[in-house]
Amino acid sequence: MNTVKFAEAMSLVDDRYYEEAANYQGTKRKPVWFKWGAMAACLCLVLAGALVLPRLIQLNGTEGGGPSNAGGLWPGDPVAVGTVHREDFSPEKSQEAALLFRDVPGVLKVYRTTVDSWFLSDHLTDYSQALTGEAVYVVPQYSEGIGCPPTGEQSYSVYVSGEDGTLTWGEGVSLEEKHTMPYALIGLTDEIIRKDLSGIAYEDYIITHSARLYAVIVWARCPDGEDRFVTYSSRPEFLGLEDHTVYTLEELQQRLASSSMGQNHTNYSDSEG
Amino acid sequence: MLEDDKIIDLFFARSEQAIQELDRKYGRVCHRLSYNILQSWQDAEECVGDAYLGAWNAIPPARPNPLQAYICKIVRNLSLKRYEYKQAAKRNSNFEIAMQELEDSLSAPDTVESELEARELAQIIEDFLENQTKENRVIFMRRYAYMDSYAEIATRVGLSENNVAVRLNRIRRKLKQYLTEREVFL
Repeated sequence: MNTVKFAEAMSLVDDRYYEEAANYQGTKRKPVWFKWGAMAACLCLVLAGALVLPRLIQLNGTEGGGPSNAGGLWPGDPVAVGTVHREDFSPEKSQEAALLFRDVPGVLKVYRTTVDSWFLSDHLTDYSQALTGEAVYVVPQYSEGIGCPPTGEQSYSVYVSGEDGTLTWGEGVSLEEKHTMPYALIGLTDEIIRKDLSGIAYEDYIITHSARLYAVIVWARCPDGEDRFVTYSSRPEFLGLEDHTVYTLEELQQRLASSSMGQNHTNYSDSEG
Repeated sequence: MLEDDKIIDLFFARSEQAIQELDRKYGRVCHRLSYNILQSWQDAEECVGDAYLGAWNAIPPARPNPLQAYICKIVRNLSLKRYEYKQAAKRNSNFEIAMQELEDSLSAPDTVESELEARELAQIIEDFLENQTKENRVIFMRRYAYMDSYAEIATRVGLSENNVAVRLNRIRRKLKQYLTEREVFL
């Protein structure tokens, strides 16, 4: 038996087999839940129609026929960012995460931003416009994973959640994403964030990162309905921002849009690299 | 993303952008391949970095075509070397599991080991692959060249994980028969 020689031989196999295997894309299988999911979606559509249509009819019949200020149903409503889909982005760790990281201090739950052009949007009213629902857990000092010895203050690992909620070290994090996790995450703690936010009234905050901006952006929900933002960037001068400074959305967007990053903006996507 | 030719031209022009473009286009597959062997992102990053350096030193005069296979092979070789170095410390990598699967196909306890060179063996493997369907070739290469997990292969080829396992089992049996017929005993 000589698997080493076999492995060596596999390295010498002609390039065309490597190319074929690298470029092959078979027929996508529909997941088991696809059929049931489609049926459930249809059912939801029917139910949503049944619930929303009567409301639309009622609103159109009111005096003046103007748009309601109650929610985001009408285009152009003055809806502050953070009111739509905000409930999908929670600072709370999942049960699995709380259990897995119970003995590990300083674990951060971090959401990823979507396309980097979110900050150039004039109509940023919805969290899901800017953030993916995909949260990862950044675990400081355990780059080899918890269970292995700590690897020092300048390191961290990333855990991702599977469909069933189980957390896996490294697996599932595409390399491009992992490698563009901002260095600013190293040493960042909730204490630092809370200190930076100490001058304002806020309810809670979520932590996000943008691979394209190479920055951590903390979104704080405030009782006045206007979110505030604190950035931690590996290249603050590139973004025209000052770390540890609280910005409103408008201020953040203006600075990012006028920064070299905004000026040189391309259609590069954080999430669809 | 740039075409391979353009990336090679950047190498020839000694532009450091060549590395960036190479990484942008093939970085993900290279890192994944290395990680599959080493089970460590840090080690994978270093191996891929070394591979880029190797490519930088080799191009020019080399003008590899296809570029992807070229860089993947460098990454694979460097990762295997590092794996051997770290073998005592690390267990259960995709590489080790994939190679364990092959033991039955390669072992021949009552025969004298041949002096077969790796290059000759590579030629025999190529001949074997030529007799397989395209899908089976891809499954085999993804498993034993790229060290993908069954789940990753299943996603790529559009089969269930179980189906991939069964296919690989059959391919290994065929390989064993193929090698035995040619009196290749490893």
